[in-house]
Amino acid sequence: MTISPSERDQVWDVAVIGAGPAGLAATVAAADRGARVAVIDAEPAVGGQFWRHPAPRHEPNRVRDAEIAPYHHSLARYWRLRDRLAQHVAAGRAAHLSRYEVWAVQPAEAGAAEPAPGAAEPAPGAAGSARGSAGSEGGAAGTTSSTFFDVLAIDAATPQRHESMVRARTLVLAPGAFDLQIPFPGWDLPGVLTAGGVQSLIKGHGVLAGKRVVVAGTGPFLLSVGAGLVRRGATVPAIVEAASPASWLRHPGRLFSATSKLAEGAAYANTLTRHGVSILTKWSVLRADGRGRVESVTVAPIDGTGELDPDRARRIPVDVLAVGWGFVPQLELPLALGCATRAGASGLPVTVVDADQRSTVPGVYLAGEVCGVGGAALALVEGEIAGLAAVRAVGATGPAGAARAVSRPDEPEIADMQGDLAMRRRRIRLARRRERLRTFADALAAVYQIPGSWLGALTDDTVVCRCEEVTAGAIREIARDHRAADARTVKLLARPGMGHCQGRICGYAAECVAAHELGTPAAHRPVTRPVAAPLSLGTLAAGWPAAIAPVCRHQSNV
Amino acid sequence: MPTFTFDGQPIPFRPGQSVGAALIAAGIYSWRVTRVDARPRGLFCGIGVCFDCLVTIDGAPNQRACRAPAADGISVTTQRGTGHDDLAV
Repeated sequence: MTISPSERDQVWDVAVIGAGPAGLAATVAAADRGARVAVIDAEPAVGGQFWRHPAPRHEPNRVRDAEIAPYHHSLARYWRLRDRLAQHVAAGRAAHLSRYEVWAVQPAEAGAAEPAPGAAEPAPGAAGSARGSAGSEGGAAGTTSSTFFDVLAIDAATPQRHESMVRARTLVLAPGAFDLQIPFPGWDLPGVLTAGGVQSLIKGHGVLAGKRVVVAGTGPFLLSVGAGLVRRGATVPAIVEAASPASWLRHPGRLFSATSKLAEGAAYANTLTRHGVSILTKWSVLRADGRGRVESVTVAPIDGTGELDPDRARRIPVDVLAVGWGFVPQLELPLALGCATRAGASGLPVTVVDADQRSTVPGVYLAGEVCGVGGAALALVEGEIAGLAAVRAVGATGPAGAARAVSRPDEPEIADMQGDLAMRRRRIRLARRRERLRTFADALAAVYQIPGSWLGALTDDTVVCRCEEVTAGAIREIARDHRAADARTVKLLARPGMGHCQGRICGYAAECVAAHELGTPAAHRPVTRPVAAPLSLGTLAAGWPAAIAPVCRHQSNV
Repeated sequence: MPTFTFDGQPIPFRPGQSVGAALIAAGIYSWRVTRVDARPRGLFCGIGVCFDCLVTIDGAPNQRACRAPAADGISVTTQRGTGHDDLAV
């Protein structure tokens, strides 16, 4: 089935979901080669969590980029990508739809039962507006494709949370990840925040979460959060790292100097050393206490049997406790499309991709943490590979287009050859770089495993599911009485994961608690969530949303 | 400096900050009371995933404080339970 010319006018070459390092790199790579790209992101500014920035505004006294710059790394790369995207938006090759929360993606066939009545005219206030714009220059010519995808997104900038739709021939999904959390007594006290949350307050809002902050959990990210806090003026009594004290971990500088590309880690280590922050390795959180909010955290060493040793515990007064245990890839959208997954390094599922970042679903490319948690440097590489592959798939002007436009407008064939060659070299470089960074990420993941000690410290009265207020005791009881260790049965009987967050926060832990009670390993199967972002019934009832189309097609003669 | 109110108390903020970030900057850490055990809650994940920071803004409950932009003159109030006590019979 082919798409009619009028339908093609409504279809983007590539829709990129997520504007973090992976999504940003994919967007720029694809638009650089002449594709028409819509990048859809929930935040007010591009950059994702790693390069989180406040909304660009003109008021005096706003949170300024320069103020948060000291807490960022590789900002030059960010500025290059951000400026390049802005150029593409100005030229009409790309649209940046900021503060749009994607709640569903689905394949659609041309001429299918869903005629998308709204698609006939561009949505008011969408394309061409200040927040999302598309202009006059056409991009991809070439082959027609029988399949396209509908991205359904909620415009979070409007109080009514209007829904819009972006239709595209290929998708690059780069939704990222959030902090993996495990419960401990007192973890639901106000003032206990995720490490990522503390970081986002600094980077996105210019706010220090607390004056005296212990950072605990596992992973190199704790060093980054600790360094940001002390540089901003907080006291960090300790960074509590649960992983085994390998010698390279005692000297984080050595760990990171192993790869010149991650000098970032060495900078954090230097900052922490300069501020005299002690790093307790093979220690973990026993409990947090306070009346109405956290006032102290009790930490203990993990002994030879892998349990926390309460006899050697230390109580540290704090006003904020930051905790993080690695990251959970956001798989809602890949799973909704049927992309295959595998067990990642943490045991949690990650997606399967090939050398071109292609998922197991034709037309769907994946990049960044959904392919396995690996950090921003790897996400940038994966994003660029995915963007280039998506362009080849839609038969956009390709490498030649860019070269022809820039260097040899008079001799298109030579420009084509030069472009092809440059592209091949670039792809080889990217593949090598991805291999190196992936190996490094796997090595890190092997070091920073979550120790099982938390299960022993988890008292029966501790809340595991924060939304539905389901305790560890309730989950254990269900597991024992019903021989239920799988997440679904436990959820149906005890309700963990039935609340607002849909098990995003407690899913890992609830399954571990049930499995541990039965003495079986936790399976951590992928969890599908058909609704990936909150939306109202009124939005659904309002019918099929208007399409945000590449309006350039209506204005030009392409 | 623009301000909004939290349970009647003025909270200054800088444009670009979320409601949750402005509250934390003002030293306020909880703004919700859970519906089962009436426990205090505030910001946890800080990036829109956990829904712990739900709050009532201009009478509309269940807004994520970490995502809602602070705006001059809005009224932010502690959310109790589902935030729909007014519908109780």
